Amino acid sequence: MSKHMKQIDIAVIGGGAAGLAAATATYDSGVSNVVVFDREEAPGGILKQCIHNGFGLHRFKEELTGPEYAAREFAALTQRGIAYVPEATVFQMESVSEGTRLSVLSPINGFEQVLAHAVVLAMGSRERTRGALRIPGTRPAGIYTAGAAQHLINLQGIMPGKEVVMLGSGDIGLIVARRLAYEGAHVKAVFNRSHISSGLRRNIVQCLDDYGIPLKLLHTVTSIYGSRRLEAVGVSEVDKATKRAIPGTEQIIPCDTLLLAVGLIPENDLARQAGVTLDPKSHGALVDERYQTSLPGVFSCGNVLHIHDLVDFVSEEGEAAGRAAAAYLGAPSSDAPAADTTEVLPGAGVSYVVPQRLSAQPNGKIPLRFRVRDVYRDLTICVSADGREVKRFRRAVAVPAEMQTVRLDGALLAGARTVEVSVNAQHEPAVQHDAPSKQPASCAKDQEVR
Amino acid sequence: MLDVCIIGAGIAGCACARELAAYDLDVMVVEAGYDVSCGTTRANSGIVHAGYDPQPDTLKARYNVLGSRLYPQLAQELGFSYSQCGSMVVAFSDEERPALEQLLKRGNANGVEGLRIIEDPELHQREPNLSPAAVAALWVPTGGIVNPYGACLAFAENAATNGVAFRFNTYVESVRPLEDGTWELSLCDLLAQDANASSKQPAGADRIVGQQPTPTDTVQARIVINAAGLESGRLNNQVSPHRIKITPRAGEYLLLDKAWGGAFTSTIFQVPTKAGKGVLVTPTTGSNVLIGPDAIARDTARELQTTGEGLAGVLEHARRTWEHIPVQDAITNFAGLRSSCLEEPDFHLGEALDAPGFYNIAGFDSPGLTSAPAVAQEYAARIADQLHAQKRPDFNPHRPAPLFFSQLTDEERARLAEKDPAWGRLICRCELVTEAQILAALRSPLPATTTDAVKWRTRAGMGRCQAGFCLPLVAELIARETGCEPWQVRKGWPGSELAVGLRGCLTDLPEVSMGEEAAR
Amino acid sequence: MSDAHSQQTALDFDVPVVKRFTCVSCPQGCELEVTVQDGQVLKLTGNACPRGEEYGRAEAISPQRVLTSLVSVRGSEQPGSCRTERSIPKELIPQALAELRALTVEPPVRIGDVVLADVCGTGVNVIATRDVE
Repeated sequence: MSKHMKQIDIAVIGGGAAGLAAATATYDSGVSNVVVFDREEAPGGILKQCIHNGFGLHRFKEELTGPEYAAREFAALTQRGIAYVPEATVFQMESVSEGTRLSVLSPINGFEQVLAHAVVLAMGSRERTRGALRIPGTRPAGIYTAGAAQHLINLQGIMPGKEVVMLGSGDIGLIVARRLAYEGAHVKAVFNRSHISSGLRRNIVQCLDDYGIPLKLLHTVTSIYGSRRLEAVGVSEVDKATKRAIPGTEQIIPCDTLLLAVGLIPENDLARQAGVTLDPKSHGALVDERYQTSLPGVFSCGNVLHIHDLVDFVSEEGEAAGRAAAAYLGAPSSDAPAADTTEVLPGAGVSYVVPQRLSAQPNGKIPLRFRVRDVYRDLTICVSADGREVKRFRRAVAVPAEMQTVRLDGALLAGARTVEVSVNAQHEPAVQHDAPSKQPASCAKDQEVR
Repeated sequence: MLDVCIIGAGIAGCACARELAAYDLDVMVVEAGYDVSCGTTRANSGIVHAGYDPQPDTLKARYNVLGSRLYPQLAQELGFSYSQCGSMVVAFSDEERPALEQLLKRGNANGVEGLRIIEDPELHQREPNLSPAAVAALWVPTGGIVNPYGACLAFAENAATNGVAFRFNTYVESVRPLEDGTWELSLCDLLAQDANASSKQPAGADRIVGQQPTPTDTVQARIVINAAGLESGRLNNQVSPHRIKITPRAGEYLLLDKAWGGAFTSTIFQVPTKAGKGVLVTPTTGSNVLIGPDAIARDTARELQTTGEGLAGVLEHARRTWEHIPVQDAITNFAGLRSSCLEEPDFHLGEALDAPGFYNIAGFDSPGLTSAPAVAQEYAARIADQLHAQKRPDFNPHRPAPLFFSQLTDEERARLAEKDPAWGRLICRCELVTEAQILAALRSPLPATTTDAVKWRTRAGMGRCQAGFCLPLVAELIARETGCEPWQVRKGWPGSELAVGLRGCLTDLPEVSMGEEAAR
Repeated sequence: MSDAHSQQTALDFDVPVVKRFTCVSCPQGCELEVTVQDGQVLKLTGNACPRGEEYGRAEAISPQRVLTSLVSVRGSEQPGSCRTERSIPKELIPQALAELRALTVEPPVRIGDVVLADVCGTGVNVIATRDVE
């Protein structure tokens, strides 16, 4: 089979924001033999179903909706004549001496094996499911992830439900709650296990508060009722210290639909199977500042690398990975995973940092992206190398829902054994972030809900 | 007039249908569910037991050992997933060793082959993830695993191909003897009834137990096989003075991601203790790891729910076997029901007392799955003899195994995808299921009509994303094949439609909140 | 200034009212308290920066939102997606949704096409955000 194997310079796996930006950047860096393999029918990935606004303020200096953003990114691709294969799933990947061998399946080209000299992984993420949360109960129709519901309504014009309860307040969930309310559904409440919402403040205000949808923190779904269609869910209070549901607090809320917005997981099954080293904290590949993974010539960007909250940063990361892949073709270096490179570690208050490694000679301004573990005010972000502080950044506030970026000169970090990013601040008393002014409204809603 | 009417399309009913299809008989299977394997067969551990467990000289012991020996050949003939992976019963302390000896003795008495007690180093060499506390185990080389749905469907499809009729969504309200010695069954068409019912009225499983459905028609048969699982006691009691009381007993399970598929190579049981029978940890034919079940008596046959306590209990018990269960990689949890007869805990087989021609397969809890093929072969021979039926020369005992893209070689993949673009279109990314596989399920001799039926046949939606990505695509395919709207596609039971309607079906407008106001 | 806006201020006349908002200008999420009388802000507290004051004033007097929704396209199963070109008064959103629901546009639809001109008399157009054949 290998003698028939198609050879390409760069394969981009995924046709969403990260993949499209990466492909365009590789081309602009002088590589024209680039192919984007997209498992979906049309380009844009999740942007296609994100019909709300709020995209592109950084990248296009104007506020666009998801489909508009995707259309602009795809136009950039087609203007350059970059090959795009729809409905093409890369389902196997193997590092070989000449590059990376991909097994691709598509209706247009059937089954093919492609040898790519460099690969950009941009497969995005998937949603956490009921099974992963181990919510007990029956298994009726009417339980969907928020993204699946968004697909049904925005792309297929199908109303998933009428009386809706949401678990989790991730951004997709908040957006979908408003969307369903716009289409005539009753969103009874959004319950959130943690005392901190994982959604952005703006979305909580403009999707929930604007329409009187109560957000109940420290509550979770503890049972599911109904044998054919969902009939009700049981919701219990959660103990903030133990993070467990408090027995005896369950209230039954009749509903026909339960939507889950409980987190995204980078979809790295292909990478894992190919032997890419993953970071258990970010659930994405372990990369250096060029976004190169542990496999030489394999790069990773966007939500498959770590979960973003702004598509503009996804595109920026895609571009950087695309440029790096193009540079790799010019001068393939395999120094990325070596032991003498710099390790970047999350320190106090930080849950993960990307990149996790720096090459021997990091060039230019290096963005370090990370998330904080809790809500912090008046904080200092410290970057230290081998225990010595090299730079500090002041921030008024940092919340887990929002990805943080600090940029610093690679020269400051070169040669260090370890670099650590940590947060220095007083903990925000969580109660202030429980939206206390909403409490009376929430209680009133409870009466109706029952 | 039917020769044989089989009530229930679970493993027992479908195995009987397939064996009877070899004879020149007019056979129909009537099933309340929307598909085969909708009851006790579905959420089952999927173990082909070797037969060391049942007490000697019981029906369970006899048919277990016979059935276990039939599975390898049946899997070949009918193309379903089965693996003789072996099983072990593990003792976690020296106090538990005598129990192993007892099981060994019992197994030998039942005629189970190859049993022996193993200790370290063999014990942990075989199963490195087994808890260090394990001291010894009964090694059972003939233990196996099977996809219970797959086996049941294989029997049913082969029966259908050979002329057996199937009626799904059809509830048997009553059975009564006629004067000429035949039987009349009153049937209710649940789909028709659901279409007439208001949306608030429960259907499906609720209706079966909750409200009595109204009979819509009747059929007449010379022989009835009562393979109705949880409903088998109710039907028996309509025709026989020897009453059978079926107690639904739930078992709760957790299924782990394929990433852990290699954690155990054989089925691991625990020595039964005073605290209970223990739970099993087993690989599945789909390369997942299955953990469970507990055993909780439930009041009605509709109580198919898992519970927080139940799942926690399953995990706690299972940690004896596997200390560090990766619970974060659980992809789903579910409950199954056993149709147990606690008063007379053996199988209830043969013609019911004072009801000639009414054959029971009742109280058919574990090892029912293993025993079903053996019971079916005996029943078919006996019923054929009774009805003076001849073997059909054109009976085809083979059913081609469905193709799974994930199991094909690259050459086969290339050949199929070149011929048919549907083999090139991947619908389920987690389990690598192509459009062609889903279309095959939708066009099978017993067509899948629901997303659950597609899932069970093709594994589309059974993986780690739990249908988040493929559900809309599968629904579109079902709608296209069955001529309905995608939103009308059902998950399973009548009333389990995917959605409430098209956009625009709801007319309420949202109320805008302008910020809270308080006069001062 | 729109009719709806004048109605809103009319309701507020005479009695001073206190409105509470969470500022969305940055992740800090300041809890703002704005006292309003006769369409005028009397007092604004809780903000940590001038952006908060600007946000609080706008939210208290005339909150504005960009509306994004769907619109039916004749002969297409896939709905078209659309948005208002600029933000419109928040209280008009239900009415704007009602106008959009009543609408079926003719294909083909191109990004930027006006699907509904002058929504709710605001002078703002609703434009398509994706192509539908």
